[in-house]
Amino acid sequence: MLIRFGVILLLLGWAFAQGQGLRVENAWVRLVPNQTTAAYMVLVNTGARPVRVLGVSSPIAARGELHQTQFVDPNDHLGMDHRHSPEMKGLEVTGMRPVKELVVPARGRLELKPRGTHIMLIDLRQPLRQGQRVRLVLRLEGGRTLSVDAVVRAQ
Amino acid sequence: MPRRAIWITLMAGLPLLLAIAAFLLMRDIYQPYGTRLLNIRAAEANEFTLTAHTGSTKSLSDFRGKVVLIFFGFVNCPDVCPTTMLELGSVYKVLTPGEQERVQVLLISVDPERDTPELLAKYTTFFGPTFLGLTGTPEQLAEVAKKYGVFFQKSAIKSPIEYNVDHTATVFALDPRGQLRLIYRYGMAAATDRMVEDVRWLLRD
Repeated sequence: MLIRFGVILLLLGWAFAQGQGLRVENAWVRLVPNQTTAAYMVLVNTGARPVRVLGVSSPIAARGELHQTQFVDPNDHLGMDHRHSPEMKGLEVTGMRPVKELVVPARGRLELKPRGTHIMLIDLRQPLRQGQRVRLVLRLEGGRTLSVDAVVRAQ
Repeated sequence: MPRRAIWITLMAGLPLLLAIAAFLLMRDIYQPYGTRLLNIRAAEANEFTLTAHTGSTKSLSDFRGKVVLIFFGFVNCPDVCPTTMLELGSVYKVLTPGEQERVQVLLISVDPERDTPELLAKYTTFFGPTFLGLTGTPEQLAEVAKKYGVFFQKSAIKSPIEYNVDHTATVFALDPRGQLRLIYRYGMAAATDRMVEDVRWLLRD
């Protein structure tokens, strides 16, 4: 009885240490015909402390990076044609910037979604298939990891 | 008897006239979802000639009679480009086959060094069977971008083949006469139904 209790306690402790209250919902990878794609998901932190995601890897890609799509200031638009109609001036320029870490707030959530924060998967080893299950490994602070099962979707 | 005839004509004709008037008015007062260009410039100002993913040379004027939707992007763009291309694919799918024949989606590459016609072909047709990818020399593409007020520049350069491209993520809609009519700023193409309404409006126009 005591042993069984101990095992349960150990398992609980292990589970706790794995994600420390971090849960992932609705993880998916976009189906594309080329070698670079993105993964999206909702990170839910049920713990009382913020959780930091420091990196990501996946067996399907040579590299995974944390990225943020953001507006870019094209500085001066030098060389732009200034005869454009007013509606065409100052159109938003977007770019991707690598981010060092994702912070999931205590008892909060962080959504990775198109046109926002995302995981970039670079140099896919094989073409993706719709419905395929893809493993993503999030590297958390403190040397912990969290394995995520994502589905390949054409969306 | 003549008086009765007048009455019948009025009773039947008036609602018909009103319906016709309303229809004509509705056509005119249609408020497009995309930002309308108030001063429509000459079609020549939108003109370009680039290399299509099929290997042949294509000019904008080759698509006269069609509504043309233009997006500037590149194959190795993991977020904004596939998001927008998928949205344009959704718009295309809603259209009837007859309408589809009169709509051309163009992806103009802002990454001529990496986007070979072969890569562009595979990428572009994934989002829509008739979608066409266009590329050219850096000079040609810079000139086209300038015409559309589009900015692009390499960023996060890690090596000659590893970099990102910052670029304007606007969708441009041209009418069947080759006139630039509507622009969809970043993110607007997500509203499929409204985009479809606009495309139909441009097709009627």
